[in-house]
Amino acid sequence: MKVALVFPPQGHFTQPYLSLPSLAAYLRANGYGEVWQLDENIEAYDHFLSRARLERSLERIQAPRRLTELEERPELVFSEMERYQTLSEIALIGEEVAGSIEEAKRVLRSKEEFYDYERYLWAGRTVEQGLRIFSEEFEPTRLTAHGFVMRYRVERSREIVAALADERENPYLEFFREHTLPRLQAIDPDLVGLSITFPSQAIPALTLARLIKAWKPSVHITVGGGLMAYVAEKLSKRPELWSLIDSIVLLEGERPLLNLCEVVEGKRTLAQVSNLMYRDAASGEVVKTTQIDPLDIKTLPTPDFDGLPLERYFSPELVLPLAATRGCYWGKCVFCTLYTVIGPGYRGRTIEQTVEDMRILQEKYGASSFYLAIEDLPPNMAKRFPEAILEAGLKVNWWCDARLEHDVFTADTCRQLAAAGCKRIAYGYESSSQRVLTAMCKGIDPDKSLELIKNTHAAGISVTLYAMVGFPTETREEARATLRTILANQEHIQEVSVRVFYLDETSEIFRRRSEFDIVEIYPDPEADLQVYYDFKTGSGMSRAEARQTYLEFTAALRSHFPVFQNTNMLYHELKSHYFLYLVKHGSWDALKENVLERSVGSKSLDAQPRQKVRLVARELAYDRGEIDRRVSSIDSATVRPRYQSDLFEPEDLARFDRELAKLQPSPSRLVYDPHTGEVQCLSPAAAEVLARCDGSRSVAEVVEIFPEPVRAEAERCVHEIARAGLLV
Amino acid sequence: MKDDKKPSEAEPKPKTSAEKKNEQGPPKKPPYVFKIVPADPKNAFDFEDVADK
Repeated sequence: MKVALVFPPQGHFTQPYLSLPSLAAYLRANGYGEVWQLDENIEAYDHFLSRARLERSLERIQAPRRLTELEERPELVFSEMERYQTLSEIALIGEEVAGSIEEAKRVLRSKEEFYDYERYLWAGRTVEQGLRIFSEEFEPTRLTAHGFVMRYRVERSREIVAALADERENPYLEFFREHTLPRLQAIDPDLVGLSITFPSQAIPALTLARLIKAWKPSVHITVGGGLMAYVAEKLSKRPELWSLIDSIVLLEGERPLLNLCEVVEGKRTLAQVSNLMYRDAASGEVVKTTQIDPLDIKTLPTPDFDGLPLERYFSPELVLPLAATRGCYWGKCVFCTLYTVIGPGYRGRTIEQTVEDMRILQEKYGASSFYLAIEDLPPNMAKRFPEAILEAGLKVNWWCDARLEHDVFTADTCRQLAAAGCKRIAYGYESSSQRVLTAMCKGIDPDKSLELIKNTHAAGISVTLYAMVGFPTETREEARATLRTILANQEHIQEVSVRVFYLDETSEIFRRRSEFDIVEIYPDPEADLQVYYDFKTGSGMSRAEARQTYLEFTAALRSHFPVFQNTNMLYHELKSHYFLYLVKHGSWDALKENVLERSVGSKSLDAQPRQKVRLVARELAYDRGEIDRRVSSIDSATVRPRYQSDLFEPEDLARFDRELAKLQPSPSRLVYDPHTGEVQCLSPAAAEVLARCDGSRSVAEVVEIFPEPVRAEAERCVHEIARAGLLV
Repeated sequence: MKDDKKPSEAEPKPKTSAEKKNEQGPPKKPPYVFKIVPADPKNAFDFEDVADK
């Protein structure tokens, strides 16, 4: 009996997820030793971001030729500006990025170079640029560090089905055929389990299922995971689904998967597997089996990461996820959908078990960093966990989410948590308005919360706040007050994770929406898998205002918080990189002083400034800076359900092309610095200033060719060029 | 080699009628714009994307 468990793309690339190791450990502990774990997410990223693969993309994209075609147009419409952005970047940096991508991955995996902040930023930028090059081959498909979107929307099953066979736009068809299928064929599994947690995994997972079925129709393919809990009922109505898969596991996967092994062995029937959906072979009807009680997680083995490609994640050290609890001990927030995903019931392992889990994983994999994948740190654990870690003599670092529990995060407790290796806590703060918090049923007091935040920071633990904008009835003034409170306390807060409220049909607030003054919802008749609804309220912000307020938040965060500055790279690679930097430097204050506030380009200007030697430049017929501004402004002004797909609708794009002002040619110069990975756009006069910075002229001589009235401005430009890092 | 002659020192040429007509048209863009901005690709980092995973 061979079982292949697969984590399909797209998830994050900095650390493994917990689903497969939990399931593999359970199957192995119950007598199924032949279990393979395939993280096709990291395998795909690793392959896409390889020199050979990027060179193949460049060959297929033909960026210089296509850019020239655009350059010859007398004017550009909006969709051409979008193309121009990407093609001008790739024409400039494509060869360089393909040539250095292996080095960039090596830096992200290097225990030394990863912590050299300049090298880290270069590597991060190079990876992002590599993903833009790769994505362009399949445009409008877009793969980034955080997402995968196609023109096909995952809230429409008809579009999902169409995506599965689209050779031009689905990048995973080729990857699975060339890489995943051969691996699976070598294993020759009897049962394949696909873990689908994120919407971004839906199309890749079903693409893989289709290829597996074409190769081996007899294999039982089951899909499970958080997303399935949301959409299984709806998805199961689509007949095509049942030619791709054999069953869907709902909620917790351990016991259904074990039972499915027995089904494949002929020891049990599908009807005897709980928490399952399948199509009855005789009647053709979709069957949903009984739901069993939540699992007592004290009975579970330690997650087993054996077989995962642990050396391939884009991090210098393993940060392993570990679940000490399932569910939320509070469980009252009206926007929460946790119980849709994992079923009812709050359960925990004992503190001793969690400490033992850490010890085992440290011993087995050399990991000393852990992400506690829990909804919130329970009060008893906050109090007793530190002592248990210290008593066990464990030297570990960890982070987790927590509720702003007023009686728990005292100065003493925070100090103990820090002493036991807690480096970061992410709190659900949401709003500074007591009215809004009460409406959410958060059960917290915003003023007391600030005290807890200060305690946490004073203990040397990095504080992250989750904030929400646009909760029904929230006014713009209330949201802005939240932002003001955060900014007023920024010395105690290191990160803010802000998002717009979305109305999820499985949430309490959706069921009781009239109580929250939601007067109308707007279902998409085409979207048979729709989970999130656009809506209108009788009071508070409109959805467009919520989006605008969100942008006010992000702009303010970028200008006030060190973590979000300098291209935001540490935050960008959120899953573990920022945490690893915290561990390296010991505390937030040390990290800030040693790394984040070290000003870039602050050294005084040389008497005879000289531009860097290896700059790569390209003359453009259009002003790329202006194109960026226009594309970004329309992007920001558009209200979309970002959670599932953030590409423009074709009809919107056609309207933008018709209605928005067309761009006339105006030359600019794009300059790439291979040392930093940064790309700058210079006006012709600024490019002239840069060209004259050749080490033979003083600043006065550099600017002397310009008329007297603009020389002061030209001098400022020399300083800006220096700040942009283009001078030696 | 770049021509280091200052633009302001260029020899004036007689204006054509078309140029004269243009002078009466909409105001021209300033002749020297010293602009340097980071290129900002469309799929740059978004806070909400990060929060999802």
